[in-house]
Amino acid sequence: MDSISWSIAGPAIGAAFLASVVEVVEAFTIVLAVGVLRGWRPAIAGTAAGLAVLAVIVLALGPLLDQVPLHSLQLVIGVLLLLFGMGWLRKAILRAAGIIPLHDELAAFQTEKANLGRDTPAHGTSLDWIAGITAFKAILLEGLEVVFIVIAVGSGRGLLGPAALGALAACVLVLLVGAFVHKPLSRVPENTLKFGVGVMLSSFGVFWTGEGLGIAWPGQDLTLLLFAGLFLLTGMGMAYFLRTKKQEISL
Amino acid sequence: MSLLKEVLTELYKMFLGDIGLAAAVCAVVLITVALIKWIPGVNTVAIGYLFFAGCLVVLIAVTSVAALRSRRS
Repeated sequence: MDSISWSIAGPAIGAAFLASVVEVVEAFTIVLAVGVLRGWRPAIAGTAAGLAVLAVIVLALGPLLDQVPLHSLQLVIGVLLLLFGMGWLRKAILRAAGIIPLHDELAAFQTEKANLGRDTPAHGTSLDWIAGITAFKAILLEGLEVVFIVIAVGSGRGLLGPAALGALAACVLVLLVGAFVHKPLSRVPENTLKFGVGVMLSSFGVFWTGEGLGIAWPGQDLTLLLFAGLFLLTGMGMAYFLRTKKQEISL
Repeated sequence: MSLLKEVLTELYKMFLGDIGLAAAVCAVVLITVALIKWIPGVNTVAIGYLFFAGCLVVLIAVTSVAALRSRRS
């Protein structure tokens, strides 16, 4: 880790950690619904299977990406990060402005419980199977975004390991807190986290795309902080402007 | 098969969930590529900052459009 620049490793690990918190909280809500309604065996088996598939994807894609020329990799990953990060940032701004509703973990928990309650299989053993598949799908689908972020912020600068550790730390943290409180983690400031992750991923997107096009940013990795600061200011400014407009219209 | 379909849908939504945003970002990237490749001796750092400014403009535009659409509906 001595040769790693912390000005780029810090945001990379931070982005992987925070994005993972958001996604793992959503997955945890579904796994909790499965566990509460159908028992913990299928919930844990589905979760373990989902995590195993995600780990295989990371282990398979990581070395493959090393074969791609650095500038091409930076360009492709940079554009994908821009699409993904600015998508998150746009949604977080609209939620912060009150234009679209905030994500409600308690409502998601009730919906998932209702969905599981409706499933009426022909014989008893299928109940566990359906519950396990539900947990597996939740982990796999929510985890795909985490895998992309880990690979995107980690590849190109040898940060795949640290970024994966950031994501793993988030999983452990959410599971520990979840096991302790034993209910949906509805008090996690999900939109604030999404706002922050959107800012970081968009900044990485601009930075990598620029490097992929041969732009030598002055100040090198420190330019990331400038991008992040300006994305954050623009996002907060937009949220404030749209919220004020909404209040003016509703008066 | 339905799981694979759900995975592909998730991947599509991750990057192309908002077609307007995707098209605008790709346009800004293509313009930046064109400026760097076709203008000889151009200051690439200045183009880089223009590219960044373009991304901020795209963010403001797509968010405003989404807010307007939400109000109309």
